[in-house]
Amino acid sequence: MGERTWTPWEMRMVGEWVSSSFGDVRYQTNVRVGRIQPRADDGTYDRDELAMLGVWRRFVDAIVYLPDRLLLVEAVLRADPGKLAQLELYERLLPQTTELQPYLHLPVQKVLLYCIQDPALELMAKERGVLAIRFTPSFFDEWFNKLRGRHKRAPQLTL
Amino acid sequence: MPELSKPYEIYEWVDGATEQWTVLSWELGQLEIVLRERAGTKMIDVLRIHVPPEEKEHEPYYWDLTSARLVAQLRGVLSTAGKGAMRISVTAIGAAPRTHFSVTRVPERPA
Repeated sequence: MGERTWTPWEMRMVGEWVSSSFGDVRYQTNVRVGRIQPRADDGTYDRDELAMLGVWRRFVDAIVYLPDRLLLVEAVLRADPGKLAQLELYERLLPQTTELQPYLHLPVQKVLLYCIQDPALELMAKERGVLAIRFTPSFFDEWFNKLRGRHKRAPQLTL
Repeated sequence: MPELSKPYEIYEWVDGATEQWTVLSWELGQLEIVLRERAGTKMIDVLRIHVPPEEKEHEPYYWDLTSARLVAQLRGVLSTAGKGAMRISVTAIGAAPRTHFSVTRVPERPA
């Protein structure tokens, strides 16, 4: 049996989207959000140790720094309603994120990037103020051809 | 994917390190690595980014990036970017082999 290889498709997807959608704008992929644990002021760890511990923080797929708002982006190839909860959590963690303090006066727009459609997700996203954007990455055929039959479409359950 | 020409210039990341580069061009290929845990070799995907001479101390003026996570992010960012150089900043988070990377597009005209 051949060796299985892991491919971070969604990392590539979000990179393609931000790059193709925004010109000369600052954007960042794989951004840590939330407070560094333990707190810096308890004196237990120095600055370097705290940075190392920060790897346990959560990651949002991308942030786009527009002049009038921040876009908080999660990407998923096959639509998954669980991503909506993730976006809500990440938004709540923004005020605790030291590195993002200069931008926190800006309003936040949550964006869910997906490829294979799910009608339930689109409805739920709208209700929660999440902008759901369908995006077909350049590697779609390569990825899709590796899926088994039932994974090639989202559940067609409507609400 | 073609095997990249030698010499290899594999960038060794340290936890917490940040590097800023101007990517003039890039190419995707493979190179052969020797496995630590068992005898043998393996071909891995590599992204080679070409940078200006002033951003690297010696020739060749490119870096080979081998992390699957980093290659995926950069392929996405670089593949659809417009023609011309692109300033990026990369930060390594965590120790190998589980290093995560954050890639920032650095605009030419800061807001």
